[in-house]
Amino acid sequence: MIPPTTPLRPPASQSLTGALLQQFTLRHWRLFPSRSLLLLLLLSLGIAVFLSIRLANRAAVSSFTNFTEVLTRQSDLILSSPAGPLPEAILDTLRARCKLPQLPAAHLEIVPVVETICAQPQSNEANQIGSRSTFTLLGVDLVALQNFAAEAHLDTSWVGQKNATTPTDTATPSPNSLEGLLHKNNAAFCSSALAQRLSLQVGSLLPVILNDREVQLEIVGIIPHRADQPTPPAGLLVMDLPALQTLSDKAGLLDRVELFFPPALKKGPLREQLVEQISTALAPNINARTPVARQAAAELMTRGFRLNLTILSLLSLLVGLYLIFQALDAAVVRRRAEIAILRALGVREWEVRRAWLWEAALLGAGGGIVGILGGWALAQVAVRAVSRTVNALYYANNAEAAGLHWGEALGAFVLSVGCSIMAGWLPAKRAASIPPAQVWSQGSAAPPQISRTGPHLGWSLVALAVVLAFLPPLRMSGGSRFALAGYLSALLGVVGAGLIAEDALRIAAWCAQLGSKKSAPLQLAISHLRAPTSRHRWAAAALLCAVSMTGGMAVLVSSFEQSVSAWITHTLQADLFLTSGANQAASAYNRLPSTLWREIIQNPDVLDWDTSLMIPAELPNAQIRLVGSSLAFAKRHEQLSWLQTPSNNALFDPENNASLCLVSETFAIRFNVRKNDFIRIPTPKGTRELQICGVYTDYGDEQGIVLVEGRHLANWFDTDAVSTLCLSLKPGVDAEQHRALLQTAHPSLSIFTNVHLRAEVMRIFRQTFAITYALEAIGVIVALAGLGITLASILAERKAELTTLRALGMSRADIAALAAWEGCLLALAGTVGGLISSIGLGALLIFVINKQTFGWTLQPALPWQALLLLGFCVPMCGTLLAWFVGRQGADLPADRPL
Amino acid sequence: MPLPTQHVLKCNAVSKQYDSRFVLRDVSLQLAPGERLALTGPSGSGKSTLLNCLGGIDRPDSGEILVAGENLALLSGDALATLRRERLGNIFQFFHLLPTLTVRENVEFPLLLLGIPAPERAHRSDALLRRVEIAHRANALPSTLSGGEMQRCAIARALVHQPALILADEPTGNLDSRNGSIILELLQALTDETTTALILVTHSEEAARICHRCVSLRDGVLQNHSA
Repeated sequence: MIPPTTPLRPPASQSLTGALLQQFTLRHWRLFPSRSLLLLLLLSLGIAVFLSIRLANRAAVSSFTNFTEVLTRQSDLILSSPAGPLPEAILDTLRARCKLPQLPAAHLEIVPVVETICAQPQSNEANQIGSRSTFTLLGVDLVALQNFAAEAHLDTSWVGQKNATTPTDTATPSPNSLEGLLHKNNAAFCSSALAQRLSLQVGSLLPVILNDREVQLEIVGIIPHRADQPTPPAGLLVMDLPALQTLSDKAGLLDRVELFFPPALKKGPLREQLVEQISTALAPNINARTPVARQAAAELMTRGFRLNLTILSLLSLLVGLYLIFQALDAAVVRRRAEIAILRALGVREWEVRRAWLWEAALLGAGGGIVGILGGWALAQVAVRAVSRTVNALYYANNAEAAGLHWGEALGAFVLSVGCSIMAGWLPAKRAASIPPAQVWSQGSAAPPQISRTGPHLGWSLVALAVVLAFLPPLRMSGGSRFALAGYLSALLGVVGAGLIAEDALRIAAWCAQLGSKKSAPLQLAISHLRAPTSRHRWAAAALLCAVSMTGGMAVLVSSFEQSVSAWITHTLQADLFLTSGANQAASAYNRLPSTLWREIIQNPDVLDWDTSLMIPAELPNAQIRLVGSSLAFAKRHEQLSWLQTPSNNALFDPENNASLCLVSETFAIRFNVRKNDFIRIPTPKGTRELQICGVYTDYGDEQGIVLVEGRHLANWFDTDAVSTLCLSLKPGVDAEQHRALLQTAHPSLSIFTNVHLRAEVMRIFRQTFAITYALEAIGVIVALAGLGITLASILAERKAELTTLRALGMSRADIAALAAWEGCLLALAGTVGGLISSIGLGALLIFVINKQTFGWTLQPALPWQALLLLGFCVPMCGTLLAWFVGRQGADLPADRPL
Repeated sequence: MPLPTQHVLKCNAVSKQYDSRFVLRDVSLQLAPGERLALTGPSGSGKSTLLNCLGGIDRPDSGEILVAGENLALLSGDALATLRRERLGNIFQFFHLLPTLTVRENVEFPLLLLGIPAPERAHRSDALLRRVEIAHRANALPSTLSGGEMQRCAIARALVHQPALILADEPTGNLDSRNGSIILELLQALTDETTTALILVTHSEEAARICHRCVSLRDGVLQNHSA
């Protein structure tokens, strides 16, 4: 008797997907472990590069901390002047008027701060800008800090540490006790990281340069790292407020005041009421903002730079994702027969698709995990390069190590998995739609597909990219701009050019046809490119994109270099340039006192001179620089390159130019102003309205400069100290000898001859772009590795054809030559297409993205040597790689040694 | 036509084993110019392995194979490739035409390997294409051909450089009976017109009938010879 049948139930889809993964995907991985591993490593390299830049950027931005936090925890409000220091009298105003009648007992903690940058004295003769270690000197009222710490339960036991030789007799006040320290004008506390780096201990002397002199700081305590407080940065030194005010020539002045609200006023309407009351009590030109807003301002300052690096770092990731796509697509072709059998056995389309997407996700997850580890390691290298650039262009920072930020790591992992799934989407769809009957009738190899869809779409994208290039940037707070349309144009242009690579392949095949009459391997290679498979097309497209982006960046950098070179030739015309030795970073504003610079210009060898005073200033939500120098001197020496030439002669007459100014190109673009417009700038003596008389180029600054007559700026800011001094020497005077004499007399100054300073500017320029070159090189290497994998995969798919060729009498060398020709033509098509596209991309970067982001007009220049080198090296590497792959790809049993 | 006496192929006591299992055991065989030999046997009997060894694609463990007087055991991989391109022609069950080359280019390909100038290549290949009656498809890609047309193209490719020996591995195995008969007639006629010898691996009695001799392989051992 036939037993009653139970209705058939389909297996749970999860278990079927698991079975498909286990019995097919993972088995394929196990069978070809090196292929899977290489793919995973290349994807992880892309993720690692991306993550390392993100971590390095984060470390550089985080280093712009409010150093006071290390001592006091985060304040509630920071008061600062939009330009110049605050007068100490502000403290009395605050104490007298900032009280809440509802909470008379509430006590507002006021912490006045002076902050300045100092540097280690020169330790060698290199005299390179940025070569000396810099420290942030923080001056706080140590007595007030002790009281505040006691109330806030903070650890300030480091104040009053005793060294080994200090007697422990409590009857005698210790020289290192707080009372003792208050009598010293050079007592300083250093962070534990700095103590470790410079082998400092309590009692050590640390020489530093501050303004024009060398000061021996005595280390009287080491600030430990407590788990419940922010890590003291490596470059932090803390002094008592009055001592630092005296040392830095800021007697009676403060850089900022930090306010700490009582717990009851940390949030809510009472806090708003107090903030309102403080704002009303203060002069209208004083800024009051939270530490978060201050940090955001620093982030805003470097946003363009960080964004550029992030976009560049995505190049490797993009190429890595292309490899995922390519590998999965190749696997679809390889496993067509297997998929056809599965489909014939009843596996549904979506089940096949899901298994492939899972494979992509697993690859992404593996690549993500390895990439996170690699990214953290790479970040330790990248952080130095990023930190150097931030130092040179934006603000002082001592970022030397990048921590593994879990948010960034999670982001990189999600990006890896998400993008892998996206890259696997099309192959998964193709896999699912394989009709079994067709596969069985055609064998396992896919017929060549001839379609014009790719090139047509490519040309459409390029046309769209051209249109986007003419759109204006997005304007954001603080006058900063984001070239969204420009970046989209670059993306669409590069992707479009990649799709057109198919035509480049056909052109390469057509050109090679002319010389192929006698070479069987060449003719075969050409035949494969006449009707390129999707793998050929994608390999050429990836290479084209990588070469295009590398070449485009080379065009940008070359144009930048040529423009900067021409600019410094025009601008740097004096024989000697003097500044404080502590001015090692863009944010260091150490000055030369008038007694010093007036003494120097008295030298009989000096023919002409000019001083320059630079003061950071803040317009609403935007940092700029005010510069004061002799405009007549600038005119006399034709120092400025005009974009809008001044027509008002009063500009060059100090008696009549108090309400006139010039602005740099970046300022004009950032704030959308032009010649004859009026601007308002903050000064300690009130806001001044100035008329713009002209616009000039300045590649040394991206924040924007307002240039006014030096004597007026000095008067507005009540100072006769200067930032730099330029000397023109009498004919016949040897500049280097004069420099050496001055350097001997004033060892704390940085003194450069004209030639040396020009070389330094170009060195810093190249150093700034070093990380760019590294990212581009990685992108090209990943693309070349992708080409190798692609060719290996193409040859593996053509195993039957290669065996036929061997049977027809082709030797291993012939097969290697066939692969080499194929690789060579493929690489040539990608490289030549990429080089042509790079010129368009370079123009986009120069005239649109750079202009909209940084506001610099660059003179276009083509780096012929770099482009030719790229055009030679990439096809050469592609050919060698392909030859090697071909050499391995067509062994017969009969080839084994006799 | 009487067959010449010098042997195109001499195969003495050839043995081959995989994993201690004999695939060929003491196989000896001789073939005169213009002679057609049918090689039959069940699946797994060693026919393809023997064909690979005769074509210099695989090497036997022992024994001696001489093709056109050349001892294959003494030749390097590159020398074997030269021998294959000059002296051998191959016809496969699944045709194995080069998919990216046109019919004419496929036929010309062995001549290209031999460095024959383009005009002569074109002349010889066109003549053969006419002979196998696919001249009208000369510029077509293999993917557009029928099975019979593909095998005619493969025959033309195998014969175009006038090899001493053609190794045909079930050339009709993937064709219908009508096309199979046409292919066999072509093979018979073309080898009759030249001194090219033929080894035909087949399961088909009809195919075996066009040959001068028939041998059978069973478990790697030559079982019987029949005229």
